[in-house]
Amino acid sequence: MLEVWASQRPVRALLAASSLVVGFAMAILLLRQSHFALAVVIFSVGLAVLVGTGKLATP
Amino acid sequence: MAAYVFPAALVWSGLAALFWLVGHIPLLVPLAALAYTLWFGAHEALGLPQRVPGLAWQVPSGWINRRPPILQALTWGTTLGPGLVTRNPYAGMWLLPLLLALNANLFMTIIAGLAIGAAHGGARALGVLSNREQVDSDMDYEYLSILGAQLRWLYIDGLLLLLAAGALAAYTLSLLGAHL
Repeated sequence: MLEVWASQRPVRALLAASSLVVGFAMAILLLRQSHFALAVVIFSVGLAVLVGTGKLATP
Repeated sequence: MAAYVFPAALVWSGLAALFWLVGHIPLLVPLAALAYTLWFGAHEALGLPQRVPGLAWQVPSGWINRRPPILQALTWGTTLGPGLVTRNPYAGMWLLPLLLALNANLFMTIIAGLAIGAAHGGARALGVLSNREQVDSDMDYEYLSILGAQLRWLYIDGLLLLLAAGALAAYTLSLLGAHL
């Protein structure tokens, strides 16, 4: 149900735009608190796990 | 698992040191990462057709056939663990070296490279183990579920790339002197 809803083109566009705005706002907060570098490392490790696990889908 | 994690951690820490040098060129990495995440993030998140950069190399059968199991595991682990030379459908993979290059501190960059390598190699190994358990089940059903899973992962990867694009836009503006 949720997957079908999220796959619609307008919903995709809305989520894509939201991701951009959230990323921008989060970065401003992190830069002000001088935590941006640490956040980049944590994000990178999370992305590495996602990509590695995602390859499960393409054996 | 160890055959995947250790080679991946080693390769990525070496790559981290290399990209740390590239990171010294002002604005090059943030701008390249921003352009990359915007382009591929939009394509993946909106479900548009795209071709992710990368190699389609496969481990030659001669490297595996009639080799001892330990050597087979090492060969698979060394080639698949780092995730750099075999086929990869997710654009998030090639953002990782660029993110490494954003670090100003060499020690921190190498530690981040080790963590990325270990995380990717470990996740890849878990995927291989999970696939091995499913090999005996209905092949048609498995093919469809794999296809569905790949589309879902592409969507999530795209949203994460756009999240990174937003953050990189703010970071680049701050480097250019904007008061955010």
